[in-house]
Amino acid sequence: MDRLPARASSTSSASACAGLFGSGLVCDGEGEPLGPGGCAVTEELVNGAGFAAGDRVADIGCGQGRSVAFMAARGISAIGIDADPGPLRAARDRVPGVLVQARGNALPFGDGALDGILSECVLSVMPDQAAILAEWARVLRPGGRLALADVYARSPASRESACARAGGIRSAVQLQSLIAAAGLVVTRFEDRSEVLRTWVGRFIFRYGSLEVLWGDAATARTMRAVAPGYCVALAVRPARPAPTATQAPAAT
Amino acid sequence: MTDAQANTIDRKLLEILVCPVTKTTLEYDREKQELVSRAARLAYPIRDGIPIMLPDEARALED
Repeated sequence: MDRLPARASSTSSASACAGLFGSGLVCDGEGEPLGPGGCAVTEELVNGAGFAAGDRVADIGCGQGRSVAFMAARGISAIGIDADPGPLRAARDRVPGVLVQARGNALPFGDGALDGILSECVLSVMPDQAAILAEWARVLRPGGRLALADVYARSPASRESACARAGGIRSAVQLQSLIAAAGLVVTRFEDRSEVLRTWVGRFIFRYGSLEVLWGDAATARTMRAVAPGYCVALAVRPARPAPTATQAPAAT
Repeated sequence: MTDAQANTIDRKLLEILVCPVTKTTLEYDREKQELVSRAARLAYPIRDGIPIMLPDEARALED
């Protein structure tokens, strides 16, 4: 078994998980970044969101830059953002794209500066997801799109407390409510858990067990209890703020 | 990567980057390889062509 990559000791690490999960440093035997679904999920997200050549799209939590390279190859003005210097340095040598070290909750972009945001397997490992989604909504232009892939809790018994113990893992309903609360309109939310099965197999083959991913045995048990699945979600920033459900109906 | 490449920062990127604290425009100091936020009184370093837009990594401006 190979040595584990050292976690960045920098305090800038955005991950709330002690394990390799969210470290941006998980690689397969050839040193290629190992992410659930790989390029197939990235392609689905980019196509689904309609990111096109010339669009300015930030990949938040870009890790080693696989998706930045994927988008740049399509002529998209891709910007890779990560809080950790380790994966960014690896990305620097790997991809021609533009890279910036920044935190997901304090982006160095003006209001409405971006056509899109791509984020894969990142939100669930971040603290204060509501504030992060609000920041992402801020930098999207009206009509700009968020394309998200992440781990979520599939078990219907996953109550708030169980999810809290499992770090930032949310149920499908919780995750969609969070996105909506940031002022974005969810246009697609689909299960892609089949990609996790292949990925977990490749991970165990590479690192020996899943416990390395979650950091410790207790976290691994908690994760099994919420039945982690994988989802893709698309959301759009509306041209006008969405009317709130509590709004009084017009008088007749 | 050559030193020249390492010190090149994407022009288009410069146009859209703002201070992550104040969201105001930045001045590019080519010599020091820094992005200066007058509003936040911080200079963000650029290392190997990667702008480090983190307040705790930035240099506090004195003057």
